[in-house]
Amino acid sequence: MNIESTRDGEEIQFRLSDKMTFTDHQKFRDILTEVSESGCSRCVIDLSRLDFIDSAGLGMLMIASDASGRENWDLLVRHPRGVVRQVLELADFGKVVRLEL
Amino acid sequence: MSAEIHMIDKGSNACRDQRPGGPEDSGTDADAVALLGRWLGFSETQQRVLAALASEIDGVSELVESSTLKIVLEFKRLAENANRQAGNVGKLSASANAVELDGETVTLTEIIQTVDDHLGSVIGQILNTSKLGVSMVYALDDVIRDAAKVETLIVEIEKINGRTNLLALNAMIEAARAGDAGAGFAVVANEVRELSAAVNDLSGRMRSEIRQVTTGIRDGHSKIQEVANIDMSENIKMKGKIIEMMHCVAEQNRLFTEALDSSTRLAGELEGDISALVTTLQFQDRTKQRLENINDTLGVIQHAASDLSSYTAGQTAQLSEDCGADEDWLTALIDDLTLGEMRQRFVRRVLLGGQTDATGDQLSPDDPGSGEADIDRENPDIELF
Repeated sequence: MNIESTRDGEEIQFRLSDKMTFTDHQKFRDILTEVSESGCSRCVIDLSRLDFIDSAGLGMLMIASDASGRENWDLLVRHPRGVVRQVLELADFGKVVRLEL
Repeated sequence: MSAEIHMIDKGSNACRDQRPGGPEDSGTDADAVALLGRWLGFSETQQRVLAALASEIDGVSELVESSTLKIVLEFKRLAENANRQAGNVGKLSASANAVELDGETVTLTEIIQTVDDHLGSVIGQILNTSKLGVSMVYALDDVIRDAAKVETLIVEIEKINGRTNLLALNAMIEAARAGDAGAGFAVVANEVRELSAAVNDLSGRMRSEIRQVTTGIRDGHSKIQEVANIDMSENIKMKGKIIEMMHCVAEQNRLFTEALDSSTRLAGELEGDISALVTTLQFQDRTKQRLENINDTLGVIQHAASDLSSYTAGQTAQLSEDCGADEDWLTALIDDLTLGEMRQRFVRRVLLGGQTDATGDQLSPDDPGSGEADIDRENPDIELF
């Protein structure tokens, strides 16, 4: 998966594209580290360019949600498309993370 | 017209022939008596006809009554059947929406909900497993990092050790230079060198252990990948499909129940309709009443005719008592009328034979009439005075 990050004041955005699978676990960890070190109070993960996500990807998003609670920042996952959206809906993901369709 | 004139002549002859012997009257008196005789004969016919008609009317009344009764019974049976059917359908309808499971009634909606919940729970568990998997990877990565730190520390140890060794070497050289005075020192230096070698050996082993840990952890990575890496797209399709199928079942069930309920409703309406029909058949009462009224009236006329005939015969000495009907005249009259064949037979039998066939509509051509209630009706049993 590819990651584009932008910083806008208190908010930091990550735009994920291509496929999000288990092999991206280190990259994702780096995102979490970046958020912690930036001291931002809001993190937005944009999925509009993401084509595919498997259960490991979902697990990572859940880990991000746990981290946001622990480290006191807000997490928003937004704009899932196509299959990714179907997977999130199937998994009832809106109940697990803050989700904006 | 011509027939009537012809008959008058014949009639007058017939009755004159029946007179008992006596002196020849004057023309007008004789004619009048003859005519009277004919009237008496006709009256006789009329009485017989009235009796026969009354009997026919009775027959009709009974036919209507018995048929109506039969119809009512059939309708009642129909209503019972409709009722029973509605009951069965009602049971079907109730059972369509639910199943019996372990002594409990479970509705279709509950079943769907259970399946949906369970699928959701299974998917939740998959996600959880994946999340734990990734967490474990992160934890293991931390271990690797710590292991790397340890390795760095070992390198530090080795460096220090190296310097220690060098120092010991230097010490031994100095000891050799000092000669005998440095002998004790040389021994210590040697010990230090040996210690250093031991430390080297140890640190080497520590390194290889750490390496093994790191290799093991990286192996663990790939195992975890198998666990955490699940393609959910099949699950999406299947869950969607299963839920859709269950909704189809529920929808079909709803239609099924609707049809059953409609059927029950119709059965109920059927019962109402049948009740209305049965009420309509009560016309039979009024019909019976009116027919009885007709018979009463016929009876009166018949009685009056009989009375007058007897009186007339008694008062007119020249007349014989039994002036019968003029059958030839009546036959010609009947033939002159345009009646359907069956009606003509009926009329002929009543007029000439004084009988009707009690079953009314089963007249056979040569049957002189074998009805049940006719001959008994010679005298009406309705008394007005």
